[in-house]
Amino acid sequence: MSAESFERLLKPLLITGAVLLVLDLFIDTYPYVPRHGVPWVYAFLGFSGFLAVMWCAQYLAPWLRKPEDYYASDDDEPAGTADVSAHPDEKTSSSETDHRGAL
Amino acid sequence: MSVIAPQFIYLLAALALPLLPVRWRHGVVLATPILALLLVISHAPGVHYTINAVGFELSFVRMDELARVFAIIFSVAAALAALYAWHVRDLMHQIAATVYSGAALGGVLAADLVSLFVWWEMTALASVFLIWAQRSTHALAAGLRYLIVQVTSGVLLLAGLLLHFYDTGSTSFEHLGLVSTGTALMFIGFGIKCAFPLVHNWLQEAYSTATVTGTVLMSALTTKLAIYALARGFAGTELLITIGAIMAVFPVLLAMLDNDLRRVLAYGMNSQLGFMVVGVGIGTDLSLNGTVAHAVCSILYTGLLFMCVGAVVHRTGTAKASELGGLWRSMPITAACCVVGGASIGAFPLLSGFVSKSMTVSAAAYEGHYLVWLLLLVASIGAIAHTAIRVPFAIFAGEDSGVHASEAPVHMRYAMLAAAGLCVLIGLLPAGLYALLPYEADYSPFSLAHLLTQLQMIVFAAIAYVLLQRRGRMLADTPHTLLDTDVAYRRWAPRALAHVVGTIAALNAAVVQFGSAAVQQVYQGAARISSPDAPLAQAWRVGTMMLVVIIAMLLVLVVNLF
Repeated sequence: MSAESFERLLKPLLITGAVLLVLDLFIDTYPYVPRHGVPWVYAFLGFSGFLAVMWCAQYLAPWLRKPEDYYASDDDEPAGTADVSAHPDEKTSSSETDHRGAL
Repeated sequence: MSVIAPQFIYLLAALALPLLPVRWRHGVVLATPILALLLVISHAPGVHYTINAVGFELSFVRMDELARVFAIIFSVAAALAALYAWHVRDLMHQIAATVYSGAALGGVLAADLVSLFVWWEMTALASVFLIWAQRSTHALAAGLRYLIVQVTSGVLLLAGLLLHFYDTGSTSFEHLGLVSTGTALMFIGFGIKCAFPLVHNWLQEAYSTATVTGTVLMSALTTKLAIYALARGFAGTELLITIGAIMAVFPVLLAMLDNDLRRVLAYGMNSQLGFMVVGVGIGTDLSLNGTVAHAVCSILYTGLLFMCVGAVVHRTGTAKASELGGLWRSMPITAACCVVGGASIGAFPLLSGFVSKSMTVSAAAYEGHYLVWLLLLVASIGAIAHTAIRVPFAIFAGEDSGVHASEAPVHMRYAMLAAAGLCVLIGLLPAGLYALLPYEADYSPFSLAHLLTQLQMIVFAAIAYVLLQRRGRMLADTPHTLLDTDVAYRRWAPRALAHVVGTIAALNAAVVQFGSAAVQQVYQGAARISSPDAPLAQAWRVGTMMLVVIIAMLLVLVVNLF
């Protein structure tokens, strides 16, 4: 998707978010946690949680992402590059009609 | 009670398959779980089909509320997987899938530990052929690693049940608890099959390597059988709360990082299993119902997601995020089903995850496990990020990758639409699912608070995603291998072993070299003093010889005196 598409998505999302934040002021969102009266906690969790996950993922990426052939010597094939469609009955087909057994 | 236990229907079908004409086989593979489902639904409650064998009393069917709901969803999943795999003509694949489905059902219905062990091992042995059916070197190696892990789980179960039998004289599969070495061994065995943290990596490797149709079936059965076993044997074991909370959170980051979308789904499933394990650990009626309900929903939406990604693999030959994008135009039905599956795992209101996941989360809060409750919320946000948003965007939206594909075959579409329909149906009318749950617990998912909080989390996570995308700060999908705990046994252990072997070989070579040199020197010394020219070989004078004899005798005399 292009940057313009995300730009278009942002406005309705922000409006929906604002409506939800207003509703939060009138509805008790803590039926079981003893923290009545603190609004917008779930909105904060959703927003900051997503950012935190992305930040941690970006931080860890250089350590955990290795070249595709990292385990190649184990299996004599680059990990994750096994031909997933190599099964005799699961060949990739370009059209449905040439696929055996298609309904 | 029917004439035959439901799981034996599968075994009979597997025996019959080689004898049938090729065009009938896929029909039999599909009809078998449907027949088994009918038998399960109509089966009378209680323990049935009991025999005495090898000194143990074996009971093949225990039909109670807990077993029945798992038996039903296992049969439904097997039927959907069979429909999805309608095109498969490989006899080995069909037999393996049928035996595997029957073994998983047998495990759920087993009333004693011995027959549970038999079915447990049969699931391992049958399912590995769904990996090997890929017929590549990598699949062979991955299958062997999978088999070692699964058989280890079974061996621990066997050792545990024998110790338990020695302690108690019973092999009945009831609540066990962590009370002895035997039950602890069984707990570890169940944990391995459930993909507990640090012993989880078999799941990601196997599910991303198996055939696309095999993965759909595997995602439904193996780990859920372990969840059932934990719920039956270890409900209320507090250790499970900690394990489950860790299990729910740690795969989130790995799922965000992995490039292989089938591995991403496997990590997502691993996280969802954490919710179920927490529910078992809390052990209240609500939490156990939450575990069972979430197992049912997870089987459906995880299976649906594996079907969608599998259909993409089927058409394009790849599941790598870095090679996909913009496929919604060519695969609109698959895209729609993938969105439903993603939204379900993200617990969007009116979808299945919404009515099941919150039961466990609520139970954690009700019982005062606030940290666990918070971790489960973080895991929920993670599910929104790595599966609900990332997977559909990576495949169907995003930049057009230039990969062209046609829509999934019709039978795959039917299977995906059926699974998606069930996700929506459960989300809209959860009463049907709740009626199947084993315990009495009053729970209503459609409270204003639940709707509002869940929507807030989803919408604000989506806002964060869009903001990051707009600023180009999202993690790029690049080709890579992701390190996980498998690095220990695929990289470190072989290298350490090679180092040890190399050191031993070097030591051996040094010892041999030193020994050879020493022997050589002794030989040369002996040769020096015994050669024809050496002093010892020369003729000595009589006087000299007499002097030597006298000195020797004096030495003997002195030694004897003292």
